[in-house]
Amino acid sequence: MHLQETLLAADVAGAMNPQASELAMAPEHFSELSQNIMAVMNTVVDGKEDAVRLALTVLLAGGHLLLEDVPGVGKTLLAKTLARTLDCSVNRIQFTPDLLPSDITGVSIFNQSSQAFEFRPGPIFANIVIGDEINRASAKTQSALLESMAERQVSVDGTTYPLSGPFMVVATQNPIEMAGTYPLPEAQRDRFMARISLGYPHPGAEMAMLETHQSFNPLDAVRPVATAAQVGAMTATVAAIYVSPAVRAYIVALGQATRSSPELRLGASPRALLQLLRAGKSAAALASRGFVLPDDIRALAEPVLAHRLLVERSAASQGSTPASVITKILAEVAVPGEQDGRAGQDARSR
Amino acid sequence: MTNNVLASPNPSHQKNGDGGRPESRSLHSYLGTQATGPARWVLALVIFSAVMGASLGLAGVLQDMAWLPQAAVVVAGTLLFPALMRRYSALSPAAPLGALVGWFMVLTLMFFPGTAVLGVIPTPGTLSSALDLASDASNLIMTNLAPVPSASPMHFLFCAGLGFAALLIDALAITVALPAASFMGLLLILLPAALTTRTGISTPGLVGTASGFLLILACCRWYVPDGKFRTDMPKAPSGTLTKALVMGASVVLLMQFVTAALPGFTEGRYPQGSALNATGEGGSLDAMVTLGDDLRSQSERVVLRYTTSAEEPEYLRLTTLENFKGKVWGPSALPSNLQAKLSRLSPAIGPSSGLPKAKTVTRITVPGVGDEWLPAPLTVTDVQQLPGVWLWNPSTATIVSQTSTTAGQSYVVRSEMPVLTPDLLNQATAAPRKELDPVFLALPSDVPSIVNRTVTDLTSTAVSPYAKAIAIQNYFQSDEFSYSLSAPVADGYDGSGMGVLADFLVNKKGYCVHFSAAMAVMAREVGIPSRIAVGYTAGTRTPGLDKQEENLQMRGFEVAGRDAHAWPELYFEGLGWVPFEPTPSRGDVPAYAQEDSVPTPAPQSQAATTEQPSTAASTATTSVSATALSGTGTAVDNSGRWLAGMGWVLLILAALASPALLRSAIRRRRLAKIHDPRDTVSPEVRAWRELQDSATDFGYRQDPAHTPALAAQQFAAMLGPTTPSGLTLLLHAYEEAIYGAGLSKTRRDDLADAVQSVTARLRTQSTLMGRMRALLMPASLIRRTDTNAS
Repeated sequence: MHLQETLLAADVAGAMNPQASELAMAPEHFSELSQNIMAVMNTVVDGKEDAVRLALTVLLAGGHLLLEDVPGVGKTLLAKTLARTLDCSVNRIQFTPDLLPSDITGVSIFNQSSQAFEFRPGPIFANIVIGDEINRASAKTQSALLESMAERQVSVDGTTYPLSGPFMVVATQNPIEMAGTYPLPEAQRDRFMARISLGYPHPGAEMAMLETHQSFNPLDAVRPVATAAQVGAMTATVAAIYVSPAVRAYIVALGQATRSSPELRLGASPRALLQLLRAGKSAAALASRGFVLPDDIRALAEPVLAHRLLVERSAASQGSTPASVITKILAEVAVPGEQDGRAGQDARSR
Repeated sequence: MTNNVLASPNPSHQKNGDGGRPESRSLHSYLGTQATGPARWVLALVIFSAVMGASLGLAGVLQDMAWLPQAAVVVAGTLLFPALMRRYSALSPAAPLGALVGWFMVLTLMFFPGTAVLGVIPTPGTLSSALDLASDASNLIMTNLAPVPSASPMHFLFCAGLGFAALLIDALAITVALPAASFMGLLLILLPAALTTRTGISTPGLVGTASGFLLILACCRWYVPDGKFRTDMPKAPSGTLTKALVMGASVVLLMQFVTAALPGFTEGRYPQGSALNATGEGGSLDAMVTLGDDLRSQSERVVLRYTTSAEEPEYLRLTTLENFKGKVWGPSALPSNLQAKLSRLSPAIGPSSGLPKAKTVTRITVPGVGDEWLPAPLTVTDVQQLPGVWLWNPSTATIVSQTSTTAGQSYVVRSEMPVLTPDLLNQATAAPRKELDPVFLALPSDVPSIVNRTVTDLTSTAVSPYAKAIAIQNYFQSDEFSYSLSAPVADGYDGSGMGVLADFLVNKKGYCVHFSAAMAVMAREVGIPSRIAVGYTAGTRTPGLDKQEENLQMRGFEVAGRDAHAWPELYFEGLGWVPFEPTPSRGDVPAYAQEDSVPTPAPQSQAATTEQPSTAASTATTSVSATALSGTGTAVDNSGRWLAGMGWVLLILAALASPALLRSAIRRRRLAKIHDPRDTVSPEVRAWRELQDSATDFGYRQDPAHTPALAAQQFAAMLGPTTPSGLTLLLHAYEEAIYGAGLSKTRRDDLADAVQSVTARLRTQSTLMGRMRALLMPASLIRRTDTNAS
């Protein structure tokens, strides 16, 4: 990939600047491309259409993805497939307890011939970074990764190196109860746009997996269907999706409900709501719709919010989980309708 | 960037007041946020005023207004609870329950404190006391004409009714947010007066009701804007008040129409609320119309039997009608200081004592059903062997009870009939003495000119009042007139009203009611005091009843329902009240009232197989019974009551149909608006609302937390295995209209077609019960209240 192209795409995807809409692609093109990406990924990751779609949603929304589940259900496979499907640079970091921050960001090395320090970029410098078993690394190392996720840049020895776009970290983690893990702090979990639990595939998909994977790895057969530039354009398309005041009000109402829920110790942060909105736009675009529906927000509420919420101990002892609380909130918070939407404003101006 | 999502939340959201959650735009939450303000108290006060205003219309149903303060307490107590509960938005939906509890408690406290725990918590004993009191009240109503004595059972009934009306209005106006429907509650209050009193609803009552209703409308518009208005509007926008006023005015107009059209309201065909008789259990109210019904029924049912020592028995009178101040004949109010001793009775202005009199003993037996008027001859002097409290009204020479009936009674009446001759009558003047109640001469100002013309023609040659009376009677007995029970009904002039009179004089067909009323009016026109006696002709001679009593040979008679009769009584100075018989072929013309020139028409052949009472006796022979007028037992074979019953059935049907009509009006308006390009509400929204309401009618339960897509899923489940394309079209159009950026491109016609096809599908997919419910009790009418936001 040419640096020029990459930087351009980074600019587009990262900032969603006003020119974004100019770079956005035609809806038909977007639809075709996204269908292709998902189709290719589904050939590799059997029976996980929802997870595949969500991964793409997060990618196009410019967020990072946290895959959390027991070992062996295909977390890494999903991340790798996503990377392979896109013609992007991919790096994989296997997190271990002795991994150092510089193993991620890179180091400056003294070049004897040039008599100067030279920066050797670490694995973080890629379009898609797979952080395997991120919760096995020490907190210090985790934070190095998470900082670059938030800032989209790396500072080493006083020099700041921007990360090229599209930039997406797909971290996998084992459930925190597993041995030898350092749980991610709340503040760091907040940086991930969404968390997916893959779960076991259903028996049919598992049968197909046993069939296809027995002799060769279908991942090897994957050919990229989209370039980084195209991904950038798709991201720009997502940025141009319309969000009505009603949907914004809905997001805010959901956020407030998490904050006032007696079952929750920690509700959704403003950043969480912003990411919910961006994810919603992405989901709307993937559904070939030019505007966000409350249904998009509902569908994304659990993946986007659940990993950020902390359940009160008393509620947890009665079986409440972040997911169950979100389900309850979704069933209670009224969906803003006519009165908040455009039509409602029309009605009011009578 | 989309950061502004957080920086500037949705403007409409900010208007929500507390900046809180934008959900639950329902009435309750609105009241909840306003609860600390005066809204709920103002509303309660307004409902209180409306109920009390309407209760003014009950004046005249009871003898006094002593119940008013009690009722005020009950209404206030009933309204207090919901107002308190609305302080907490969570409790608001249950406010009607609170009202119910308040209603029970305050009624218990006021009427049955002894049976209740702590004086307010009802026990089974309270319930049985209440039932007792209610049954007492029902007895009072059945045995009394309005005004009913102001007794505690009636007070209980009034208080309970008004409290219930308040409860209903509170629930309709606030909880259900259909302030206009609160009219039903007010109507409930007005009904008793409309149905039972002769004058109908008093003007203060009408004004009180109308202004109370307007007040409710205005206040509900102000504080509780309905679904069409945003609930966070601090005030009604300009124009809302106008709307409320227009609406209120049209309701008042409608009320006028209803009162004119419904039997029992104000005056008209059923001046004394014979509509009550439609149930077959009301008191005997409209004597005249009921009489016609009884006659038409040709009922063979024996209403009474009697044996008499008289050769020719007198007619038996039940009551008299003398009050013709209004448009119909009615009894005058019962004087309050009546004597309860039934011996040595003498009428207020009787015949002079010097007249020869024929003494008669009559034993009257009333089998089965009775009523509060005692059948007795005009010249009754003593009544014996009659248990119960019976009052002698000397002004009309009638005997009435407020506590007893004649049912099952067997009593002895002694009477003294003055022996009248034409000579004696010819000498008498009609000039009334001062003691004579002016009511016997009063005429309304709008007597039709035909009456005046006719009476002038008839009496131009007559000199004495008696000659004039004979001329009038002969006119009606002549061949020009014929007896017909059916003609007046068929031609629409049944009854005793003024308009009826003119029609009768033109058509010259009618029955005793028309003849007697016409003669009474004409007599007054020429200055002879008159009244109409209502009772029975002599009935059928039944020798099987003959027996010896008090050493007298008593001859037996049976009186059936078809013997019911009305006849005029005219007053002659010195002779007292003298009966006449203007009705051809009915009864017997008294000897003193016969002229040789006027042949007595042959008696109409009656279904009697036994001997008829002979005609042309010196005293009018009549028999008596009590029940034919009351209608207590013969409702089934009474065409008039059938009519009234039909009226009620229609009214009930109309009440049942009104939700259906309202719903269908809403549907039609929406569909029309969908087609209307000038409509400011987008057609997608209208179409969706209609779809949502239809689904609600068929059992969908609206949930503010449902997105349109979720709602559509539920609709689809109701629509059977395949999802109709119309539903998808409506959903997408609506989503785009509400959440989209640009204008929807869906055609209005397509939207309307889709709504119609999907709602039709809803109907076909529903069960019969579901369809009935959707038609008669459209749930969407109620839900507008609850969750108009989703």
